[in-house]
Amino acid sequence: MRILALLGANVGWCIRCVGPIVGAALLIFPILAADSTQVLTLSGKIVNPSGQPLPGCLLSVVSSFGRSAPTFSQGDGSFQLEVALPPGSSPAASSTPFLEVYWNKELMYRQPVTSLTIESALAKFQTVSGPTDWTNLLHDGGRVEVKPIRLGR
Amino acid sequence: MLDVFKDLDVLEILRLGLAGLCFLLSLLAFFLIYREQGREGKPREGITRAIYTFMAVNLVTAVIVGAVGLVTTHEAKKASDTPTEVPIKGQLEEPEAKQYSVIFKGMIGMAQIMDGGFFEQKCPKNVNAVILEFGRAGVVPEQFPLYLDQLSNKPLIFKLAHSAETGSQRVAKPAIDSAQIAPTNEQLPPLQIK
Repeated sequence: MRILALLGANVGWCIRCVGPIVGAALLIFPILAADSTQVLTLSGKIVNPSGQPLPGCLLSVVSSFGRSAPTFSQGDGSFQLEVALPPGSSPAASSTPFLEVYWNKELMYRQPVTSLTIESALAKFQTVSGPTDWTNLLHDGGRVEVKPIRLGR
Repeated sequence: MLDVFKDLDVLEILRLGLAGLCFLLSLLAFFLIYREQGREGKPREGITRAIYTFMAVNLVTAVIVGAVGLVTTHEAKKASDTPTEVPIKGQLEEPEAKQYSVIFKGMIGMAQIMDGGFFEQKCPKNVNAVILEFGRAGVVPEQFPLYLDQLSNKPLIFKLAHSAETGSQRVAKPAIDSAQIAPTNEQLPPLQIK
């Protein structure tokens, strides 16, 4: 009985001391996780004004936060870019990300990502009923396919 | 209590890490022996045995600390001696190589305009494989996988498949529409090309 009483007292002490630490950790970890960098996968197609695919164009998304790894448009003009989003970003809160398209070294196209028309999208924390717009995508990350971008005139 | 224990800065000793702890334990062992010797009569056998055990544990701890310290120092020296980056040198055998850019996929993404078909890029050594993608505007880009452990000091020679083909067509450059280039007030980082 004495041993059991001693054990009970120790368990109570453990809960009193360790409980607040575990509780604080459980509260802090989701906040830290929510504030980590999200990734937006942007895909689409580059075409000329007559709709012909343009391969070999160099694409990158840029903002004052940084620049995404560039990529080439493929034979059918398609491209896929992975864009790291700054923590807690939204179009209003941080600088606007721009999609840039280069023809060799020459800049041909620079428009805010938010001006691109979404073909299909899936935000990382997509709710079934909620709409997916650029605000969600630039905040949470996810996958977005934009409508073909016509380069030049 | 001995004078040596009175002015002992335990916190300062513990700051030395495990070595400091070992020193303190040895000092405590000495203190136990000293106390036992200070008693009148013959030293108690049980207590002496306990002191021996305590000393043996201290000795084992000291050996472990020493061995771990040696290994850690050796590993740190080894890590500082080995390069953290490996250069990727290459040449594109192509008549219009100057027009091409190369993108290094699988490491911190960057594009590089080649200087007369040559390129060199340092890559972190912890990257196993990189995909080099050569491209120029209007031409389908081509990819080459590269395993960094198979690299040598000699520059790698790359030949594009399309250059061997006949009748490969290049899509014409569309006319620039200045309205498509939005002005920015912010200072944007440049595309990493040279």
